Amino acid sequence: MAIYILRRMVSTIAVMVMVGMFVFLLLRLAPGDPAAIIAGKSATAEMIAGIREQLGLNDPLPVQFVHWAFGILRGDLGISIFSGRPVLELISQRLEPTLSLSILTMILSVLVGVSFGILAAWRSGGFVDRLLTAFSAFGYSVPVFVIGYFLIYFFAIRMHWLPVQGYAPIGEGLGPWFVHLVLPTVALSLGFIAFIARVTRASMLEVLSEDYMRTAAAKGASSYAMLFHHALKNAGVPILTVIGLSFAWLIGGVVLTETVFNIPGIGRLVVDAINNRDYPIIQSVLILTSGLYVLINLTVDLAYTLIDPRIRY
Amino acid sequence: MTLLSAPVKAAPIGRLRLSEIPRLARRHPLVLAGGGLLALLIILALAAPLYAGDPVNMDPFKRLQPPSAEMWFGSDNLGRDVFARTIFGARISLVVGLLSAASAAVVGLLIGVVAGYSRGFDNIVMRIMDGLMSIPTILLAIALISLTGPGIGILIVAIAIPETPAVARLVRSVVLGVRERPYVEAALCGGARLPKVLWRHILPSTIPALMVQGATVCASAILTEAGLSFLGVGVPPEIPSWGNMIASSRLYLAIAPLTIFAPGICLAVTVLAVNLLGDGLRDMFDPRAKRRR
Amino acid sequence: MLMREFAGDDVLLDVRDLETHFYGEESVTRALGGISFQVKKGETVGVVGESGCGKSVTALSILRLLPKLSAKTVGGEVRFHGRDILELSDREMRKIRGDQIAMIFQEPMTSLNPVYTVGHQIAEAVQIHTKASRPVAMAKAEEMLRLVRIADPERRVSNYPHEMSGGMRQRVMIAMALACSPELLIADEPTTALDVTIQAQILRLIVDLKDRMGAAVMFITHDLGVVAETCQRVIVMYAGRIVEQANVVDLFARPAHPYTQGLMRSVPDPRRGRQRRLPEIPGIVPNLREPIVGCSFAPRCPFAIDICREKRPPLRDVGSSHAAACWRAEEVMGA
Repeated sequence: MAIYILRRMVSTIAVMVMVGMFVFLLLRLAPGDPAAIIAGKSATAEMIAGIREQLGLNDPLPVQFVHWAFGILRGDLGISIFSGRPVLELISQRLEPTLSLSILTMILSVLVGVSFGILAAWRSGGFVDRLLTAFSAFGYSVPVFVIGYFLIYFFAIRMHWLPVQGYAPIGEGLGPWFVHLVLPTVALSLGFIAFIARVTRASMLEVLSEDYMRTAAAKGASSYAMLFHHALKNAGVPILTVIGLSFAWLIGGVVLTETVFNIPGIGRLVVDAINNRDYPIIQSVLILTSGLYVLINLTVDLAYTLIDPRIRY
Repeated sequence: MTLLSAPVKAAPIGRLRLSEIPRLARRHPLVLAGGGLLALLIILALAAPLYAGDPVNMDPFKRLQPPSAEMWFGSDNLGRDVFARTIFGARISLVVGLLSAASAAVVGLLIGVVAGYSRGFDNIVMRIMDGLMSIPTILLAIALISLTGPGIGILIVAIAIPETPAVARLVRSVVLGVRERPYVEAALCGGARLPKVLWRHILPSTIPALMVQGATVCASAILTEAGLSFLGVGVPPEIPSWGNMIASSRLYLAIAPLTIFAPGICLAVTVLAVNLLGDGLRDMFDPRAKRRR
Repeated sequence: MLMREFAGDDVLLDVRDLETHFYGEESVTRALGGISFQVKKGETVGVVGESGCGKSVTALSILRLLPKLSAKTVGGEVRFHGRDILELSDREMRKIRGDQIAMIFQEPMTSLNPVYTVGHQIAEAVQIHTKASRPVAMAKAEEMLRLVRIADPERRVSNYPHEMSGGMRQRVMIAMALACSPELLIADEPTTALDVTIQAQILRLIVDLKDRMGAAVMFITHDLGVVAETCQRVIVMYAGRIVEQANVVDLFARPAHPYTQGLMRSVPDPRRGRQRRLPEIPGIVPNLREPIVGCSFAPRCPFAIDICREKRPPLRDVGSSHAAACWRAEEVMGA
């Protein structure tokens, strides 16, 4: 077990170093002098030279990389070119909307997706199953920004049920916060629900045909106990895996959703950063999401041991 | 070498005869539906100049017009014909989608085959692939595009790179499975050279999985292109693409919803066609999965 | 009718004309072609035949555990204590399963849920059918493990299936099946998947426990040796029908169906020493997807005459409590 965790850690670190190198090289590969990019358009030659010195751009590349990487480990994500403020501060300001949206989406998608998948598997070939097939074709094909505008048009503009756009901080009350997040969460969840439901269904179908399910039935177990007690725990490992792996996908969706619904989150921050060529922000967000992804999947792997006693690392 | 002929024939799905394709399509309606829809979209896109009108002509006196006989889907905020723009937008989506998918498939295939056959290469390259997979597709593409600024070429590269690891992993797993098969070992023991074995025995068995994965990648690439264009970092704004159209019309959603819904629905239908084709191909190659699906 | 003197008080299970079909993509397999038999209280009945003859389907049909989408019992009755359990609601049926009728399956390696401890799984059976609390049920599970002679039951209750050997897992299955003291235990090839040395132990265990608990047992097996050792009465099945039934002594002394004879000849007899070659039954089992005219065994039967190929022989009495479905049963017995 300890050895496995250690090995996983080492490979996780290796992956992060790769990502770090890639992200680091991004600024160096960008056309033009990084110092000039960072200094901005109106900078004088002396200012650029000063920045060059300050960033250590005269050092050899590997030295620069090590400096940069240790900076990130200490929480020093650099200074935003556009606003001149620390990137860490900018990101932490934008964290709440993004986390709210991501967590609500995860909760909704897992709850609905897993139940939907279980029902479809339980009566495979039945109505729910066919509904799922149709729904997942839909959920996979309609991008979040198209669903988003449909939802806005019908539920906000035509019906006036919900706000069109924007975000209300949770500090100003749960009600407005939630009301503003309903449409973005639904829009972002549809594809996710389809995905989780399909994986759940496939995984459950496999488990339902196992011999031990027949044993449970022979004991007189109820349908509920069969599905949720006997089958779901066995089907859990693959379901958990794809939920972990789809985290990267979720972040991509968050960026688009924040733009559609005008939510001032990290996604907006990145999109604005591209337009301003604000490399420190792009770099930081890449590193953070990738690190979070790796961490989540490491946790998922270790969580298997809790679900399935046969897995011993 | 007569001894070898029997096991080679038993190779799974290795040889797909062209003459069998129509019969297979009839037995697999999803392939027919998805493929047919996609073919129709391609023809409509290719023939666009023949019937669709001018997608870039602006008419300041005809801004945000409702649908009419002249402009079927009305006009946008700059007075451009939404129908023409939607039809021409299909060209961008399809070109970017197909080219990105093809590039990702070819590069992924090469990496996957080599990684499946060489331990040293495998360790390094697969860690790189893990790293690439850990970055959300859209963010990775954004980062790559930020190097040069928007353009069709960089867009295709930026979309293909994040999709490559999935293909490489898949091909690698197929290769790892196949290389232990008796007929491959037999061919190697029989004195066949490795490149020939790769080409004759291993490559063919990756094709079914590659086709299915290719469809998935293509659908994902079309969505990524639209998403990037929607964010303003994809196709340059002067070219009509579905993502650009949605982005530039979003302030007018309440007044002229069709300016957003027309490209949105076309985008969804195109992706649906590709996904149906992919699902159909999977059922065709793996009948066991069909029953489970 | 045959051997159904009258459904007396001592009859526990009374199966009448049970008919089960399996549905493929383009075909229907008549897995059970209408079988009738009885099991008396406390009795041990063996059901023998080759694989695919419908033994397991019979068991699953009785317990209504057939795969829902692909199989269906289309006719007949299964009277348990005089009540047709095919007519019961799912809820009522669940009350019977595991409580009054329990089952042991062939594959101990895959028949236990891998993610729960064996104690948990036995306790579950107890809790479904009694109002026992979890600690009480777990104590019962431990007691059952002791009963099936698993060493160190205090420790073993908290083991997972993968920590046990095949023989031990089958003991756990038996413990689970007997936890609620069922009146009928259906054992579907309980020893087939086990090592030869373990097989005898498990058989003895089932017979011992059955005697102690007074349960009736339906022993499904392809092994006539098992039948001879454990059963009072034997049902021989072929191609989804019963071809012969008799008490065990009569059956072994004077088999009345050529198929039964063939089965017996293909069992090695240690008394005769090393045999050069075991006689086998020539031919193959008929395809149940197509209608069968005449006796289904006729194509493989050394006794077959014209009538056998034209008309299906009914199961008829050929002696006291001995019935066979063969036109030439008397001649077969004499042969």
